[in-house]
Amino acid sequence: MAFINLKSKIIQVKIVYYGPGRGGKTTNLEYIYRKFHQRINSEMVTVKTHGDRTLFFDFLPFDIGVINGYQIKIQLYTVPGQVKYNATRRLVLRGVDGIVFVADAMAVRREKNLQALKNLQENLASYKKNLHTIPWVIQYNKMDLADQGIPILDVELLERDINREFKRPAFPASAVKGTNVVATLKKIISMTVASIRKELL
Amino acid sequence: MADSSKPDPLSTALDNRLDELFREDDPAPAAPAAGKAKTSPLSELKKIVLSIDWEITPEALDSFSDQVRLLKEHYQGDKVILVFLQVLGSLGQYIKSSRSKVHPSTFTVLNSVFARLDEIVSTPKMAPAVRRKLLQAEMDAYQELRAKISQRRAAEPAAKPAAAIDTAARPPAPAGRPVTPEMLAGAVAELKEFIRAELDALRQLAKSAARRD
Amino acid sequence: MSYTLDQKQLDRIEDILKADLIDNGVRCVFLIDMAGNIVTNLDNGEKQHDIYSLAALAAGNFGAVSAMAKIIGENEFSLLFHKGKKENIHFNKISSEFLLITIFGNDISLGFLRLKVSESVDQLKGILEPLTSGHM
Repeated sequence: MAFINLKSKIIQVKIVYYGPGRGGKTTNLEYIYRKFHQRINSEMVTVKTHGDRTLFFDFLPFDIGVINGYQIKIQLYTVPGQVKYNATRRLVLRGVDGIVFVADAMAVRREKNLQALKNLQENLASYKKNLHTIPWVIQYNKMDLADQGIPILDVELLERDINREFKRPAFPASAVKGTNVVATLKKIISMTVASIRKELL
Repeated sequence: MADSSKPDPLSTALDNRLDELFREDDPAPAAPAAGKAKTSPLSELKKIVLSIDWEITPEALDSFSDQVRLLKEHYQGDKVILVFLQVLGSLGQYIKSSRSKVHPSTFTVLNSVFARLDEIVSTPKMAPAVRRKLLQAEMDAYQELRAKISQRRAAEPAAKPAAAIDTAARPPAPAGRPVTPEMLAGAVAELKEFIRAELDALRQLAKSAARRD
Repeated sequence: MSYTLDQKQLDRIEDILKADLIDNGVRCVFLIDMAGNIVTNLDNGEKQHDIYSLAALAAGNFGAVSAMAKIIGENEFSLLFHKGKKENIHFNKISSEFLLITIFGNDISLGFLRLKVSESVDQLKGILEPLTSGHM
């Protein structure tokens, strides 16, 4: 949960990028880091396998600055998407304040998206949290593949599959090109900070 | 329902900040650690015993024997303590000569003997009977260990493959020279003799300690 | 990156682990790769753990700790060991690809365990290093 230090007036917020393996979670963070690390002045930590798959987590912390007298620090995490790393995913989800669900828009990955969503709900439940109350947004990633002739699901279908029950903000995106990566991030930060406003006031 | 676009000052301020940030500049921070110490005639030996618990190195074992030797001179007048030190000394010798073939229970015994010795040294007013009782308990443990070691030697049929020697397929990197049955028998005999001699010495000391009191 | 082990190699590995570790009182030993896959595992028959989760977490833990080492300017740490009230875990890197994880109780001193593990690792290197030498 958001860590609020009333004495030094610092709020730390944990946002986790979740989704099926190879869906673009790490790519999102890498894009943010590559484009903005000089401005946000932080280092990205990645714990990966030799095959470049996330093994434990990727981590990118940064400071937004002072808002309403409070200094807000954001911590972005990704989880390993492969099925076998479930124990690790659950670990990284601990204390999460906001989630970005990165769905893979490739047609062949449709089933994986659904499994990952179900998995997210199960892992959240172990912390007595659920998708109806926690701040989260959805990203439909890999939209750029359409230009290469690779079959991707259209947004309507994805919305029906993933967002029908929840009606969360959703962003068609291309993490590799950076399309809507920042928009997704800004939205989740706003939503998450808004949800802990009560503690602020 | 999604609701984060209320036109309130906080959200506006945050949104403006986010817009700014993901166009231009900003910084970030980090965290701390702690430690402690104390002295007794056994403190140097204690450090070595603790370090052996973590890592067994030839240097640590040498320091151990040196310390034991020094302490024996220091405690020449105290028979019970001398026996403890003898036991520690022979355990140290055994670990050194056995290397990785050492019996795993050796360290439990070593730590226990040292702990009792430490108790005795830090309790100068301890009654002689109590001291002897503690000594006896440790001697029993030492005997038990010796029995386990002999049992183990007896149970070993041919040479235990110290290097992964396999006549099949390609020879992997040989870790050391092959242990022959003769070498093993020789080592066992030496060890038995060594332990026998040590125990005799200890029995003598224990007897004279009993006579004194 | 992939590697294959045949039955004979696996048997040899298991023999080494059994002789050096299990027979000396170690409760459980598993050999994993850095991605968290289990190459082989042995135990003394007493307790059954969820070794799949353990393996994934161990690999992640080792990976995270290695990242920490680099941050503080170390190439790697020579000891990664977690002490519990009754059970302890020790990690040892065999090569850039493989880890040896041992679970042991308080009847075995860490020093002794490290001695035995180091012996096992020397033997295992001979079997494992050639498997992945083409891949780094």
